[in-house]
Amino acid sequence: MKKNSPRQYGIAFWQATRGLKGADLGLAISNFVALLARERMIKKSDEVIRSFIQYAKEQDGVEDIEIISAHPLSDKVINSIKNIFGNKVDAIQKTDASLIGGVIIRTRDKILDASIKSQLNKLKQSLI
Amino acid sequence: MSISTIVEELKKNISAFEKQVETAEIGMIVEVGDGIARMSGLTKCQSNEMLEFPGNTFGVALNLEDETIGAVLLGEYKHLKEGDIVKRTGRILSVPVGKELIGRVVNPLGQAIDGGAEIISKTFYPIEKIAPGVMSREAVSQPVQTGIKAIDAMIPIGRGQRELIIGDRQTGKTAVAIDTIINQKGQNMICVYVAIGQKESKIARIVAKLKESGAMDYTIVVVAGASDPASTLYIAPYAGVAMAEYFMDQGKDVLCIYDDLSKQAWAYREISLLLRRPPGREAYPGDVFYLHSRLLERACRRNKESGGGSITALPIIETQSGDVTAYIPTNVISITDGQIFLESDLFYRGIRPALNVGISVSRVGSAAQIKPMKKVAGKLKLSMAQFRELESFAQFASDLDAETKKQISLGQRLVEVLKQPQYEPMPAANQVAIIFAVSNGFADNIEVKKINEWEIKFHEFINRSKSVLLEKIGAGNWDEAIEKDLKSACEEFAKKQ
Repeated sequence: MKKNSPRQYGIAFWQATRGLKGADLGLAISNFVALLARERMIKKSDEVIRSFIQYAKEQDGVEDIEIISAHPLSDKVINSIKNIFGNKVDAIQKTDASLIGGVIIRTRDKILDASIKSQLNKLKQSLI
Repeated sequence: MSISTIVEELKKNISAFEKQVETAEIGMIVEVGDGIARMSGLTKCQSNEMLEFPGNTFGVALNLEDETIGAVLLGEYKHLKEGDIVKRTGRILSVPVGKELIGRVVNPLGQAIDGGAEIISKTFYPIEKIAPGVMSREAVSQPVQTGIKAIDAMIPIGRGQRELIIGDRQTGKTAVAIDTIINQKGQNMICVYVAIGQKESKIARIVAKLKESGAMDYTIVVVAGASDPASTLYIAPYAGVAMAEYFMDQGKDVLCIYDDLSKQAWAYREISLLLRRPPGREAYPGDVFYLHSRLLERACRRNKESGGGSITALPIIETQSGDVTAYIPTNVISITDGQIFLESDLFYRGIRPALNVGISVSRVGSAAQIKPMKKVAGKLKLSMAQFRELESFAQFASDLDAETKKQISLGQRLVEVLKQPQYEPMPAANQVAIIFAVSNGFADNIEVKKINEWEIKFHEFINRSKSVLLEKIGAGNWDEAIEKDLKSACEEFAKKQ
């Protein structure tokens, strides 16, 4: 039989614990850990947890975005970027001086490149 | 140009440059190696879509799985690592096509590898395309003159046909293909020779020979050499037929040679096993038939309403120890419209081209022959078949009746006449003349060993003194007058001997 991947465990865990609270939730969690131990997936537990978080966010409609800018951005700018993607946005900020200016926004499966570095690259390609 | 004008131009270009925010759908490499890469993300990726990897490398997404995408990499992949970003391009892999490619040696991505100028093409054709439907096709009726007597007389090939050249190693398969290309001079055909998994030295020799014969003026050579990655070998024939389709769309006739498809099947097996697709018979993936059928179905003759033009395909398959019942040979035999069998023992006996006339077939047959050849070679296959049956009795020649002796003698002379040296394709009219001469007994008095010399003198004679007649025959005319003229020409020659 094909082995289940860590991601499938994460998804299964989310589906199993939907709407559970208190003692039920505690029982579900301990059963799940026992399952992981039986299937020898404890080593991959990091991946399982990551997949769980990602899947939970996907299901709740929370966007995960990464904002990379050349210099630290003010809160106002970050909020206006967040608003583009809807109400529920989890933003991580990074700075990368090589971008010179502008911003690169990465969502789960898209990348929006508005950095000066790429614009200059494109200009260079069009000139030569 | 002065410095100020250059600066003006530069400023104009810069101000005209429009800033655009680039959006790309992305995924991340999870695993890379052995020419394949697995990515997570790329949720909207389509099947067989072209993907862009860092470092200007491209790949084709072949496996769309639940959580990952399996893609095969076209080109160097040593610079790729886990975590690299991969972008969707939104289009199927396409190759540059056009007149600029004629006379060049290119790789399957359309890049020049003959050391010449870079190929800049305005048109791109996708390598995967649905073949023309039933209603847009027309029956094959125009010949492809290979210049090889045995083939043009008994196993004729037409424009739009698929004829398989199959045989063991070193039996002359590539020689048949190259002679066909050389003979297309002046025949209004464009040739595409796709070399798949061949030794680079062999390809260099072939290109040199084609250049020497002036064949590069109408030929494109697509090379995926033995040291190229399996993905390149896999797409090479499709790139070749895409380049041919460009010319077919202009109503021209194209000849496509795939040398050879066995190696393409091996390359496809390699990437399928690396992508973990379930192996079937002989470890080939389940769709290895589809691999070849979709390639060969694109060779057809189109009717005028759909644009005209034709692609003739000559795929080459290498068998192991003459085993034509193996998986890939049987697959391709069932797809093509006939096969040319080349056998090792005929080759070693001195019969070159080493054609086994008995089991070679052309399902188009005489519909693709010019009228004189049809008349003259009509009974040739039958005579050869009768001779083969009686061949073993040739050793007891003295104990046989006159009729059998006659058949054996004619058969032996026909076998001699059908032998042909490499790189010497013969025009159709000369073929008609020599077969006519031998079939009607004009060589009966010549010793079998001396037939080749006799043939050379015969051709010298008719080329010199009967060129008008040859022209008439070459144009496809045949009537009583021409037949009489040819007969008297043969008598004249016989008298001179």
